[in-house]
Amino acid sequence: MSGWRLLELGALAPVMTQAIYHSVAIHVGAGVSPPTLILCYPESPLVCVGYHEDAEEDVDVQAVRRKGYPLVRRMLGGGAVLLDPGQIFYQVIIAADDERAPVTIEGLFARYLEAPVRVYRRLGIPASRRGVNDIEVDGKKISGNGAGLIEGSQVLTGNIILSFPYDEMVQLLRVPDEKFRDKVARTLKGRLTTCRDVLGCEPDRATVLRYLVEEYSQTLEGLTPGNLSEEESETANSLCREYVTDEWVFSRSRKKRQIKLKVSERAWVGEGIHKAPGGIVRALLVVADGKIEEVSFDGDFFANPLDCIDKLSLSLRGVLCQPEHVRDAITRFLASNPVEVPGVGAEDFFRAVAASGLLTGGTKI
Amino acid sequence: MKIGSYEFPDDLYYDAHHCWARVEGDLVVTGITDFAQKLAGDIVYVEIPSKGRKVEQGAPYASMESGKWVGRLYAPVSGSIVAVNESLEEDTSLVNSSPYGDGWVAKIKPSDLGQLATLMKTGPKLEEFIQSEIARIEKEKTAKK
Repeated sequence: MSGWRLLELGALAPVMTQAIYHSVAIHVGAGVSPPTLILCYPESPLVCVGYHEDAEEDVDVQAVRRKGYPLVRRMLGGGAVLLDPGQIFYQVIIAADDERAPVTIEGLFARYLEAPVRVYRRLGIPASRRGVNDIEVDGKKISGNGAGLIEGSQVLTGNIILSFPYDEMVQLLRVPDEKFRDKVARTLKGRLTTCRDVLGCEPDRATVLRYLVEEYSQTLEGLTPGNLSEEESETANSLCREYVTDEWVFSRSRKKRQIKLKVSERAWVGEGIHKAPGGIVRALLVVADGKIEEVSFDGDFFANPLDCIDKLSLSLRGVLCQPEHVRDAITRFLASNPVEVPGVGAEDFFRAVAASGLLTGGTKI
Repeated sequence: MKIGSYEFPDDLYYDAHHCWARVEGDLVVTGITDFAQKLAGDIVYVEIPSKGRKVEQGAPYASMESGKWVGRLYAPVSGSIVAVNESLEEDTSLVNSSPYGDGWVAKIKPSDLGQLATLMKTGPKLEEFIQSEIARIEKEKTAKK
């Protein structure tokens, strides 16, 4: 049984940061390469969408092109993200049939996220693992992590976030309008944090890399510096060419669904539209920890008094984001307040909220 | 039969990737097992393979995502995909709620139905395999504590 190999690859071409772990996974899964830890970061920004994501639906492709950033689809899940040199990536790869490989998803994240959590703590940031795959500090996400099975290998990738271009990220997402974009921006800033935000300055990159090696040495038996094989390098170069083709990036055109964006493991922003007899009702909502944090209604219906819809919105704050709770809260508000909205009833407001796709009983929140 | 808390219908074939196969006329229907769906958690996306696609026994032909994890589905037999479960595009929870029924993924026209003989049926071999997987899970849980 071979020990873990360490590949410290430094700054890579942006697309290579995603192709490299895929290539190594192929060779590890085939039993020709040892289990491997890759540490790297992109030399310039890229926009990266999740494996099952419809890039055109979730990303403003034109805005990304105007910036000159590559747009790639990764082999792992999750949502669209802007990756840049302010993030250091750790990529853990082990053959799925290796007896050292964790068998459960929970076990995989628990084992391989121990090291980054300890790195944050050594940097003076009291981070801890939250849920299955987030690392948080003071309730804010400070590391994004995903995992999956690639060509017979278990792969976990994540990042130490030194700094993050919040505003630029939000500009590159495809959203229905600026109001929605503003909600995403505020939620992102409220839910995500970085080393720079917490410490007031960016930690030294070389120090972070050294801490990662030291901490992963505690988790990955026999971790020893090694080299990328010629075959791995060739496969990675070939994948880089494939990753930017339209066939690859835009091959997941799923059916149009609700517009919802996952901001962190615990927070979503969504929009639902319902056509009521009295007009279109649009609900824009922010859901955090399974509760409505904020909701606003608009549309082409008439409401009297004018501020009654704002009051309805306020009354829904903190309500559990489950169908029966939301329906009850709307019904109670409309029954106990002098509100006149011709052709739009409690059920119509409820349906607008439900159309956001965020009333899942909490399972997707 | 039930192994631990997982259901394994007696009329199906099973592989080591936690996929199942059921013979329907001259076709083989496939999906993931109760064990796999419970391990994966709530499935949020299913990549539906395209009809006509050639598949090879033991090779991945589709993928699923549970929010934190992207898993691959493996073909239990070689052949070509002749039907896919389009309802999964609208409702991925079918894989969780009915892994052997409404949550089926694809129907394959096998090139050699004899390949089914290489898979497991309910009985001691499958029980031993699943019990060893359960033991690994338990070991992992214990180690974490």
